[in-house]
Amino acid sequence: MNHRRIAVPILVLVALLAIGATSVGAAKTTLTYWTHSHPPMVELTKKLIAEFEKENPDVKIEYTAVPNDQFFTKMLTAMSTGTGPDVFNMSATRIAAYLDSGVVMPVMPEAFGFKSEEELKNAWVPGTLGMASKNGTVYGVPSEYNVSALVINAAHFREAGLDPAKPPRTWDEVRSYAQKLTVTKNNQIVRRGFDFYYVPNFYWLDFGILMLQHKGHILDENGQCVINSQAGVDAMTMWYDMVYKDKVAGPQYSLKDSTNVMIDFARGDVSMFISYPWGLGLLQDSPVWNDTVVVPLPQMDLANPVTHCYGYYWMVNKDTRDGALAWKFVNHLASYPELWLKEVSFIQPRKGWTNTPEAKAFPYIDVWMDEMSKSTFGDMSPAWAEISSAIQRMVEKSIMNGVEPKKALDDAKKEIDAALKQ
Amino acid sequence: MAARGQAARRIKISELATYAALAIGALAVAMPFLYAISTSLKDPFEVFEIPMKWIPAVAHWENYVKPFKTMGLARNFLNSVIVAVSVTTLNVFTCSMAGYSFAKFRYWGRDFFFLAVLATLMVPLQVILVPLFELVKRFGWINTYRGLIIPAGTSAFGVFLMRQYFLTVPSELMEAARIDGCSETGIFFRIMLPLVKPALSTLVIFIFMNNWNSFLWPLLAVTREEMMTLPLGIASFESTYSTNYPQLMAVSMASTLPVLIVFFTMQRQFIEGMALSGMKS
Amino acid sequence: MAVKAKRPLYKRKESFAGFLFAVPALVLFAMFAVYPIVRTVYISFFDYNMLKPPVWKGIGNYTSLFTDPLFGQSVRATIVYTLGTFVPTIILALTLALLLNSQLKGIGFFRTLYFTPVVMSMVVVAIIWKLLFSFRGPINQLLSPVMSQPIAWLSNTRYAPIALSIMGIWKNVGYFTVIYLAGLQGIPREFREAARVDGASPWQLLRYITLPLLRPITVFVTTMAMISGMQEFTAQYVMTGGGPNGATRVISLIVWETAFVFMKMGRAAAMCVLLFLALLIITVLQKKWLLNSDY
Repeated sequence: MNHRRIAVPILVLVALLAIGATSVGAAKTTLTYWTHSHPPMVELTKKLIAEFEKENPDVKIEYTAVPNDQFFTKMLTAMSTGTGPDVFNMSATRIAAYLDSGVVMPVMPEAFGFKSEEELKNAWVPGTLGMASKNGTVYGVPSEYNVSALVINAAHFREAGLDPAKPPRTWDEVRSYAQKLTVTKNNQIVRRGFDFYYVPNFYWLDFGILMLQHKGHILDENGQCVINSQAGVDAMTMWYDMVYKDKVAGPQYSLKDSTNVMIDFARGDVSMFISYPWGLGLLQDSPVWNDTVVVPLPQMDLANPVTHCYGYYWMVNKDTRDGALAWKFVNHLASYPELWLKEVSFIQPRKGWTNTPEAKAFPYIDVWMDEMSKSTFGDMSPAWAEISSAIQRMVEKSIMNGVEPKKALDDAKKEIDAALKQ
Repeated sequence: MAARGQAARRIKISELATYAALAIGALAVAMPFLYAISTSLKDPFEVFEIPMKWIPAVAHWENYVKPFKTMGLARNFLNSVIVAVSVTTLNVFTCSMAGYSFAKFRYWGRDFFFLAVLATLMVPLQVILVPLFELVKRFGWINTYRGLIIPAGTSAFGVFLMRQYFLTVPSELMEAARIDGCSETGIFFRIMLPLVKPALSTLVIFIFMNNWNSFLWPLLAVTREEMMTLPLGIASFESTYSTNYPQLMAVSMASTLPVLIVFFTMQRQFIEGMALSGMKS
Repeated sequence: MAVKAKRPLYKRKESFAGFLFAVPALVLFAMFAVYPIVRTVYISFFDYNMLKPPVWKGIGNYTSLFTDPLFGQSVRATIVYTLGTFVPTIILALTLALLLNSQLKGIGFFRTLYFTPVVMSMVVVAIIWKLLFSFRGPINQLLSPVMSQPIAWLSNTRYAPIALSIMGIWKNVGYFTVIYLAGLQGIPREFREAARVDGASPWQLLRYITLPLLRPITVFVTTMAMISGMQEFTAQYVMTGGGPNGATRVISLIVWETAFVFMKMGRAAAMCVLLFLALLIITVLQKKWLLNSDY
C-alpha cells in the first residue's frame, strides 16, 4: 500500500513540473525552416545550416523536417494562424495555390548577390524558374528538379535476347520489349517487363507523361478541363493495354509505396521502369546496380520529344521579419549544387551545375541533362490537388477495376469540373 | 463422490477447451506481430522476398541500434514519458470524478453535460485542429509541455468509461457512508474509487497508450526538435522517396515495449479486482 | 423517475457537490473541444483556404455536398468499414473476455498478447498489414493451398474493404476485450454461483445473468465502436490511399483531404457538421438506452 501512497504525489509532481517548465527563448535572430523528409536531404541540410550559423553567429536556424504526408496539414495550420515558417521547401504542384493566395515573398536578388532580377533569372537554366513565377516575378528557386528517364536491367535484356545498347526509344518499342522481358510461371507474372508507379498521389505524374506525349492536356488555356480528349483516351488506353492486353504490368503487385516499383526493380522483379535522379541514390545499394542502365525516356513522337518533371522550390513567407536574411539563407542552401547531387542525388539547375567534378561523376549525367532539355511541368493550377485526386480514381477505375478508359476519363472530367466550380 | 469427480473432470475438459480456443486465437493475433519482428531483422531488400522467409538469413540486430544512435530518439523518449505520464495522471482525476458525478448524482443539466461530452467525441479531429491550434498558440503554449499536456487533460472516452463502471457500483454504499458522516470527497476517494479499480487500470492503460502513440497533435504543436515526442521521432524515418521497413519496424517494436509493460503491470489489478469481488461475499 | 419526485430536499447539497466533481473535466472540455467545434460550425459557412481570409458563403458548402456523389460514396465506405469491422469485433471481444475471465495458469500471458495490437500505433499496424496483404505476401501464401489464384487484396474494389476490416478486427479486438474483462470483474461472483446452484446451464448463465449485468459496458462498447469506426483514417490512408476508386475513402479521409490537400476548410467543416449531426441523431435515438442509470 505504501508505495502507492508515494506514487500518486510523485506523479502529480512530475505533471506539475512538466506544466511549469518553459522553454528558454533564444536572444538571437531565429529563422524557422521546414522541408519534407528524405533522410539524405535532412542530413545535408543540417550540415549546411551549421555552416550558415557559423558564418552568421547572430542567426539561429530552427529546422524541422516534416513527414511528407503531413507537410501540408502542418503548413496550412501554421500559415492560417500566422506561425508559418520563414523559409520552406514547397512542392511545385502546390506553388500555384500559394502564389494565388499571395502568402509568399518575391525573391530578393541582392540577397543572392545579384544586381537585378534579370541577373538572377540568368543564373538558372532557362525554364527551371517558371514553376515558381507569376507575371514575370520569381518567388522561389528549385531545391530539387526531378526529370525522368527509363531505367533498364541489362541482364534481363541479354537473357531475353535483346541488346541493352539498343534500348526502346518509343512506347511501341517499350511494349514489344516488355512482352519479351516478362516472365510468366503457372499463369502468374513473376517478372514484369515494364511497370508504372501505383502511388495514389503520384498517378498524375505517370499519366501526365503519357498525356503530354500524346500532345494532350488536362486543362486548356482557359483553365477548362479537357482530360477526356482523344489524346487522353489514347494515353490511358496504352496503360490499360499494357496491363490487360500485353499483360506485362499490373497494379496488384504494387504496395502503393512511393518506391515500390523501384524496390521490385532492385530485386529483379521488374525489367524497366521510369526513374528520377534520386532513384539512383537508392538503387546504388541494390543487388542489380551492376546491371542498371539509365536511358532516355521513351517517346510517342521522336521528332518532338517531351518529358514531364516535378520539383520542390525554396520559398519565403511574406510575413517573415527579415526577408533579406531569409533569402540570404536560401542562397546559402542553393549555392552547393554539387553537394546536393553527390550526397542527395538531387539536381539543382543553377547554371554550371554540370561542370563540377561531382556532376561528371554522377551516373548517366548526360542522359539526365538531355532529359532536362525536354522537360516541362505540365498543367498546374491552384486546384491541382483535386485534379490529382480525380486522376487517382480515374487510373484506379480503369487499371484496377478494368473500366474502359473512355468512361473513366469522362467520370474524371465530371469530377474535375465540379471541383473547379465549387 | 462420483458426481464430484465428474464435475472436476468437466472442469478440466472445459479448461482444456479454453486453452485450445485461446491458443488458436493467440496464433492469429501473434502472426502479424511475428511478421513485424521478422521484418525488423531483415535487410531492406529481403523484406519483399518471395516466398517470404520467417527467419532472415542473417539477423540484422543493428536495425535496433542504429536509429537510437543516429537520431535524437532518447530525448524523444523522455518527452513522451513526461507527456504520457502527466496526461494520464490528469485524466485519472478528471475522468473518474466526472464519470462519478454523471453516474451517481442527480442535478440540473447533468444529462445535457454528459451528452455534450459524448458529442465532442463525434467530430473528426482533423477539422478542429486549426481552431485548437489557434487557441493553444494564443496561450503561448506552442513548443511547450503545457501545449502537449493540458489540451489532453481530460477525455470524453475516459469520462464515458468511468461513468459506465460507476453505474455498476451499488449506490447504497454511498448512502451508508453518508449516514456514517463521511464527507463527499471521502466517499469518492475512500469508498467509490477503490471499488472501480479494474476500471481505473483500464483507463490508465488506454490514456497512456493513446498519448504514447499520439501523432497529429504533437506534430502541429511542436516544431523544435528538443520538444518532439517519440512518434514524431519515428516518423522522421519515413522518407518522401523510400521507407526503410526493417528499421521502421525495429523502432516501432521498441517503442511499443513501454506500453506493454504498463499493461502487463496493470492487468494484475484485474486479478486483485477479482479477489476483491470475492471478498464482498 | 418516481425516485426523482420523492427526492428529499436535503439531497440538494449533495447534488451540488456531485456537480463540482464534474467541473475540472467540463472546463477542459469547454476550452479544448467545445470551442473548436463551435468555430468549426462557424467556418462551415465560409469559403476558406487557410491562406486568404474567409469569405462568407452561406449554406453553399452544404448544398454542394448533398449533390456530390463522392461524398455519398464516402459515407457508404464509412458504413461498410464500421459495420464490417466492429460487429465481428464486439462479438469476438465478448467471447474472448469470457474465456480470459478465469484464473487459469498463464492467463496474464494471453491477456497481454491479445492486447498487443491495441498498443501499437495505427501507422505501424497499417504498414504491417499492407505488407501482409501484398499480392505475393504471407496471407496469399497461406491461402495458396485453397485458392487457385492469389487475391489482389488492396487493389480490388471488392477485397480492399474486407482487407481493411480484417486489419481493423485484429487491431481492435483486444481493446474491447479489456473493457469487457473489467466489466466482468465487477460482477459479484455470488450472482453466478447462486444461478449455478439453481441448475442454470452455462448458456442460461450468460443469457440471463452475465449479459444483462454487462449492459452498461455494452452501451459503452457499441457507442465507442461506432465512433471509432467513423473516425478511422490512418488505416485507409496508409493501406489503400482511399482506393481503389474510392472504395475505402472513408469520411475522415475525405475530410482531411478536403481541408488540407484541397484547401477547402469551409467545405470540410460542413462535412464534419453533417457527420456530427448524423451521429448525434443516432445517439439521441439511443438516448434512453444511454442515459438509463437504473440498472
